[in-house]
Amino acid sequence: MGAEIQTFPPEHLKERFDRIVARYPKRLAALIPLLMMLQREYQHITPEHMEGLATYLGTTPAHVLGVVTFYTMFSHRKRGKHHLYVCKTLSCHLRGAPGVIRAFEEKLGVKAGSGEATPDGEFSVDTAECLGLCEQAPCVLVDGQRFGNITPEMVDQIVKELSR
Amino acid sequence: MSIRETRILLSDIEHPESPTLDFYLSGGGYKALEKALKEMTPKQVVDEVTKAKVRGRGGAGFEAGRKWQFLPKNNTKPVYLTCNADESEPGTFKDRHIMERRPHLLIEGCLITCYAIGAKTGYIYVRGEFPQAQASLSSAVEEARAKNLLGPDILGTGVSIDIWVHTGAGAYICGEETGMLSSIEGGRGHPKLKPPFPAVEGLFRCPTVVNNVETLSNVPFVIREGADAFLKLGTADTPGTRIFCVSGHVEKPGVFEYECGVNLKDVIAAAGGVWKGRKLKAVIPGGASAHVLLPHEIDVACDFGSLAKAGTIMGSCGVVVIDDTTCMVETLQNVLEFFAHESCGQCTPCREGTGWARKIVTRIEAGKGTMADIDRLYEVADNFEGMGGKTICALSDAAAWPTKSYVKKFRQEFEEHVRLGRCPMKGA
Repeated sequence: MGAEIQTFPPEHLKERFDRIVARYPKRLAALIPLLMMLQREYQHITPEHMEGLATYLGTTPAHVLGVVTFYTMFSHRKRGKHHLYVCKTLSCHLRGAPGVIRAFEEKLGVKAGSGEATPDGEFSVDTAECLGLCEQAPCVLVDGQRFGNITPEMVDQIVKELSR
Repeated sequence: MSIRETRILLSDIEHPESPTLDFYLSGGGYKALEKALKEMTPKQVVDEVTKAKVRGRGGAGFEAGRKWQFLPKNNTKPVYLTCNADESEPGTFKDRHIMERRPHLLIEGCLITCYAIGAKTGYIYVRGEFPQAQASLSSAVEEARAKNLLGPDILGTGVSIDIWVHTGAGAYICGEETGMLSSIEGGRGHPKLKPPFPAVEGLFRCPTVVNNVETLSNVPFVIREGADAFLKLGTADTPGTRIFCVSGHVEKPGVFEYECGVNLKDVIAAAGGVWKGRKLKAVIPGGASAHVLLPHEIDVACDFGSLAKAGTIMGSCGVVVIDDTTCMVETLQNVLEFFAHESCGQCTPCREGTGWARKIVTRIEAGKGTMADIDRLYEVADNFEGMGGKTICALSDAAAWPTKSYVKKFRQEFEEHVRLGRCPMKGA
């Protein structure tokens, strides 16, 4: 794959990457924080990222792949620019999460957890296990921003706000 | 009875400036750090915290001071502090409030602890779904560094300690201490067999202390005011306060800090009681893993010992209130979907068992179960309860406890699903 590999780390992230690696006695410890940055930046983790990270941190692409598949916040498939985590667990469930999840699916025309983004690449929806925002149940986390006490009727407004 | 909060952890969290260093300093912040570094030896700090009997607020209730004493003597390797901020137990959100509103309290607790255990580096492992907490902590670390409260030669004492905020990426199991260490090391969040315990061989195979956010946040009070002041709060079993996270079917969900020993029914009343004028059906007192309590069982003191006697756990203090319009089979289905999803897959009883239990309860909820399924569900859970050493970590126990208690305490409701061939709460 050598020919396809761009400079890694990407030029604009290099300094931040190096700074994070310096916090640990072993380079590999930076893997998850760096994957989080790549996921945020590119909305998915590509084979090139995994190969680049493996070389950069001194591990194998297989190890990186194993880590990427373990954690729910990483994805191979490109997510929408706004990826919604709709909490489905206990306290949210008790206060109406199923209706909220359905409302987002209907509004955006994608199935929660399918990995599929809207055709314009703007949105994708995931259900999440407990987001730890139970006092605001039901809740959604999107773009590092949270919306609480959501009713199905509020879904239109939230999507509009995010589209802006 | 109406009860009063005792806020030593959540004091002034509503104040808009609460997260800033200036505000924290104005309330006596970092005085405990200064006292520890300038007037106490590390051993004196360990002794004070041990004397205060600060029990682990992550859920297990193990005494922090005793944990620190497990570090090997004559050790030549670096020692690490790792703060467990992977708060993921369903119904729990107390650590988030500390991190977002009082980040310096946690950082001060981490610094004092690092000094006590001889660590030069501490990592705060914050779950990936808490970007606000990560941001709040990261800027607090930088503020503290700029004021020489963190980093090299703190306050001219010659003591150097660095604290870093480390992000998780979505996995409940990383709240298990060895799973968290695997994750910081850059791996899948697989728990490891104990022994060796982290105190002997933890992060990067070095001696490591793992403490929860709320536990560490109690350390500044203990050092500033002394163990005796801490012991005056709460009960002999569980000194100090705890932050109760009340959610579910109450009028005013939120965090409430009370001295340990407070009555569970008063905590629920403080959160406005059951919403919409409905009746109480069940209470989960300590996060989704806890054994469920019936309405007549909630007149109980909240400390580790009393709740254990009541047949449940204090756990993470995530109190989830359930009203009488709720289907308990559906609720268990939701809980088991969670545990089946979060099982890391290393141990067969947990990986397979949580999946089987989820399938059986889903079948019963859909009206397709048999009477034998109800017993089967109980037996499967009894089998994957790992206390007999069947699994590496306690996740399968955490799934077994609700399963067994829901089936035992709401058996009639399970049977009704089978008899009717549908969920009785969902109409014909």
